[in-house]
Amino acid sequence: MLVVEDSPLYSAEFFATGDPWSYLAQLRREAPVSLHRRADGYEFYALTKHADVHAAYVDHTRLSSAYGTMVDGSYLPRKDSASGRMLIVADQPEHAAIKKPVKAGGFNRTMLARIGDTVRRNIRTALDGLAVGDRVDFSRVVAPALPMGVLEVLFGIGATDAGHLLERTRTMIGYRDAAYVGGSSLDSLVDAQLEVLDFIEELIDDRIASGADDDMIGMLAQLVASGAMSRDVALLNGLNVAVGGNETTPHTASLVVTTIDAERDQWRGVVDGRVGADVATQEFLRWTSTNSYVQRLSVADFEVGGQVIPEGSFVTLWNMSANRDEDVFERPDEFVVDRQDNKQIAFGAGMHRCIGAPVATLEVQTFVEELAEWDKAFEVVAPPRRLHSNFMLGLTELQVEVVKAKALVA
Amino acid sequence: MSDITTKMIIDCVREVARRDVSGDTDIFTAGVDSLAVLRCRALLKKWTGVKVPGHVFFGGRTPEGIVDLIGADNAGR
Repeated sequence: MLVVEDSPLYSAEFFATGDPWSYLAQLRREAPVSLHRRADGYEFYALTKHADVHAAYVDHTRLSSAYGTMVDGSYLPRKDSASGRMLIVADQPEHAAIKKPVKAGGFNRTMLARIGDTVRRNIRTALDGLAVGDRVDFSRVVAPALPMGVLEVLFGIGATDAGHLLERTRTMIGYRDAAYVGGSSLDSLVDAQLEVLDFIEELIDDRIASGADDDMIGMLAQLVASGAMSRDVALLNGLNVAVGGNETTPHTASLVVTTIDAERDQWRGVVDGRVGADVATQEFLRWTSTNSYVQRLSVADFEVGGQVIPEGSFVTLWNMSANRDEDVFERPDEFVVDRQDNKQIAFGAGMHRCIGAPVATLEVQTFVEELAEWDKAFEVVAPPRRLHSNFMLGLTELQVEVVKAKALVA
Repeated sequence: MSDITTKMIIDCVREVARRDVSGDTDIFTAGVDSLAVLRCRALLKKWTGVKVPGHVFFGGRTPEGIVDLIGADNAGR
């Protein structure tokens, strides 16, 4: 098996300024299962093929989520206090017990419809505020409109509070990136995290007092009130949903804009109605692969891709690589807006598949629909600045000029 | 902010994490986590009216260290 010392996969810098796509393509071809070491002794196995990544996702009994889903989330393979209590780091049976109320309270059909309406309203408001000739940073002016509506509905809060919450979760996830925080980064992280927890706790207390259960927080609050869920579990999962929802789709939206700018001929198909927004959305999700990988820990020997990964190893599942696998996708390195039968795995698979996937897909599709309808368009006017992270592929700055729609797709 | 004493930190750790610690115990090694800090902070606010920023706990680590940091933060203002 290939062993890579000082692997670039550890480096946030490499993902911001290098070419991780090519590096992963090379691994896929030459060493689909490989071991990556760092000087301090941390090591993980990397799965790069679609079939292997999928197999790892669905084998949740041998690959545990309880030891953290990010490389460096914890240095040693050990659980932390959220393990088994927060969806993203819970195995069975705890996982199912938490997932049920979160899904029922936050991601049911009624909520989805309300979220869709709110997201569309917010995107329209953001786009209506722009005039031809305006130059803005899309990542800050428009992109946050996607998750904001989700927060408003799930947490039952106004746009101002939703915006505030977004800033806090952005600090938590992007704390290593100077674009999001100045000064002492770890201080900013813990302060932001506690503020979010404080805020969610206030909401839960409000709902317990009022008895309202018509949103996700309300549903969690009533479970706390009845004793069916502990307050800590409710808090941790409120935090999990807020972070998971906020720190993903704005990046996807920014990368949708750069993709459209680079693929204007293909975008014309969506504008003309020849390509459905739903089909295009699947390809945008494949192409952008916002969450680049997740980590698991093998709690038993795990056979994959003709190799055996020993018990007690960190294993990383590279979504972004699986989404460019030549064995699954024709012309994998090309954006194909009308790609049929799209097997993109941007949200993972199996029981840990992103609980917000229907909402995120709805956000992106709504954004695509609104852009296609808009009488204007975004033209990228400066090289975008990529997020310093190997975990989230996104942009911290995207300078665009608002032009007439016809100028982009003549 | 200087009203907060080492004893108060020790008391709140006992209350929220059910751990007996002394002035120089690393409270995180003793089992305090973010949620316990959240509760501790709420207690300190109830007792003194002061909301201590979270990073003071993680930076100070021990009851004495936390109180020192609160003092330093205060002096810097």
